Amino acid sequence: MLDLNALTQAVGDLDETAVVQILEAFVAENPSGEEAYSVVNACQQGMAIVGELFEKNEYFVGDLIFAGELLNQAIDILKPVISGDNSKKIGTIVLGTVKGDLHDIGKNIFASMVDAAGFEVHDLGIDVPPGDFVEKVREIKPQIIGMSGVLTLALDSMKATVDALTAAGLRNDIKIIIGGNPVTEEACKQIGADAFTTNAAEGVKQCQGWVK
Amino acid sequence: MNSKYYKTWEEYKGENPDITEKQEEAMAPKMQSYEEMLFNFIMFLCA
Amino acid sequence: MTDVLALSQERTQLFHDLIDGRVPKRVPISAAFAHEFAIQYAGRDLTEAQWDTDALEPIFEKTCQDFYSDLLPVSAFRLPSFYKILGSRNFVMGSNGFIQHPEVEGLALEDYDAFIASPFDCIVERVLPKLYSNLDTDSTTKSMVMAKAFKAYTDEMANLGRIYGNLIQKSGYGYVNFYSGFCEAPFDIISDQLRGFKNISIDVRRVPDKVEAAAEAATPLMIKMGTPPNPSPYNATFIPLHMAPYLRGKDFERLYWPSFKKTVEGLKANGMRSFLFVENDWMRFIDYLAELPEGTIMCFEYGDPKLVKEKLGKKHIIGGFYPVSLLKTGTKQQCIDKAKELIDVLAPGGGYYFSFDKVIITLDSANVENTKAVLDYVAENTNY
Repeated sequence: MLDLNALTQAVGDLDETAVVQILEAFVAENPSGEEAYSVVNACQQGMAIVGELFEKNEYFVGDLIFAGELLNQAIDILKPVISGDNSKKIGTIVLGTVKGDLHDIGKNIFASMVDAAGFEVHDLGIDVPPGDFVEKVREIKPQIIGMSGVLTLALDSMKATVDALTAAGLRNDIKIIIGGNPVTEEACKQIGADAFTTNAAEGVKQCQGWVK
Repeated sequence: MNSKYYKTWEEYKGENPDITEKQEEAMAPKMQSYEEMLFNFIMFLCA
Repeated sequence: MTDVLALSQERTQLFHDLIDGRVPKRVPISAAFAHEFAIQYAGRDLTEAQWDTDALEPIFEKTCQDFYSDLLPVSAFRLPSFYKILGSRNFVMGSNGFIQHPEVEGLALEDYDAFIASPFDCIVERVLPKLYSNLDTDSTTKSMVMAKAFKAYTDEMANLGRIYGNLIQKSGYGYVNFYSGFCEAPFDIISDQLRGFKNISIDVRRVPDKVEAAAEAATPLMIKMGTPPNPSPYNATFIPLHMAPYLRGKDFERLYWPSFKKTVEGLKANGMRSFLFVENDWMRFIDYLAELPEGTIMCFEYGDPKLVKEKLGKKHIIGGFYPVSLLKTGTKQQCIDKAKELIDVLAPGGGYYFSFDKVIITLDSANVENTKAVLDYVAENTNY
């Protein structure tokens, strides 16, 4: 079995070469699904280090994006040895950039981070009208909805989306998190969301808290 | 600039050696201004 | 001499003093509103007005009349006609009429070498067809699409130029233009439309040598792009800075800074000063900014005004910092107090002009009455 701490550290250091080397050697040993899952867990702990360094201003947004990529790559390497049962998702999230807004960088960072954290992610893309959120929620019954936007007018669309979910009788079954430049605590209250964030790592923690 | 899509006046003249001095005086600024405008448009499209 | 002409000369003088390093009569003001704001403020439909650019003059004039500024406060940068003709993927009008910029990849990872060898050829041959779907076709069709788009672009620019000229004359604005040229930092041009935010963040880790060489290769293009036909010491080339705050210090130092500094120095050598929009928070890099040529104009979005005044105030021209967000949420008094606070820090000794921390893009991004009150306050209360 590999050194889990070394792996966690390599992920935290964003040392791609080391991470790939460790994981490829691990997969070559034909490990059990359970072992593989503890390795995924070690990678996720490495992501927590990345999050901490980000909060301390030692990493920046570019590093977060690379971290998401590195984690996707790690999961890809591990896929053959992760058995179906152990890759069970911890929750389901429907995501989108709200109507009128075409910005997707923040949404994409968040999507790859919640994916890496073990959520099943349904990304509706950009300029998503309230009706599309409602339809998707009916179809797959997620625990969480994430709405993203960069423009000030995104706040109105977020409110319209929450209202549409309420009108459809779906609001009480889900948690709603909003993210992006213009969101504030005040905006969050007004929109009727459950949480807001301008920091993807924090948003992931919030979502993990909801499905515990 | 090392590009086949952008020509300086000197390069143009090299390809058209029969241009007289009088013609050059009249032509060069105008010809070159279109070259510059297209360069700037193309750069604007990816900025 | 007419009153308007005298006003224009007085305002020109404010900015000439600022630029020449003299203390002006009062703090010069450069308010900045996007054409989208002006259209909404005039109560016009965004989609229609952006297509009918001949009719923009009275629309812009309304903003000019109601908001104080010493320089023309309205400008348009991106208009739909030529983007539509080209089938743009990078600038797209959303359902609400705003032109926005979705994440695109104009330059494939495997095209770095072609870009490094000849950046302009690579842009023409490989990047444009990826960004503009109507250029992704046979060469004859492509040349006709390009001809239409170029005609549309030059028509729009001519319209805007005429409108700007009329408004400057009518309203008596100063004859100083901070947007007389436009380019980007070499790293930013590779990031924004060519590789995209996500890809460049990965490239910085995986292929830093290529990123470095590409920024180097783009530098002469940026200097050329940013040099207008008739450089003037009282005009500037606009360079909106983007990616630095998202980079680690050592990546910035190697991949962002050297080519950017060369660009600003190259423009200077061509007779142009740079006008930097210092987006986000650059305080980590303030000592680098101090190395730029004397008289570089910097409009800051976030950061510490005191530190900026101390480190850059004697050498460079500073603006910005006034939070547009406060104009939306604050009371009139809070808004005026904030202006006073910033002016107390930044104005002493000159080298400062008043501007908001960013262009006001939409009508709902600021309270109109607060915005007017702040601009009037600065115009009336900041004599040296």
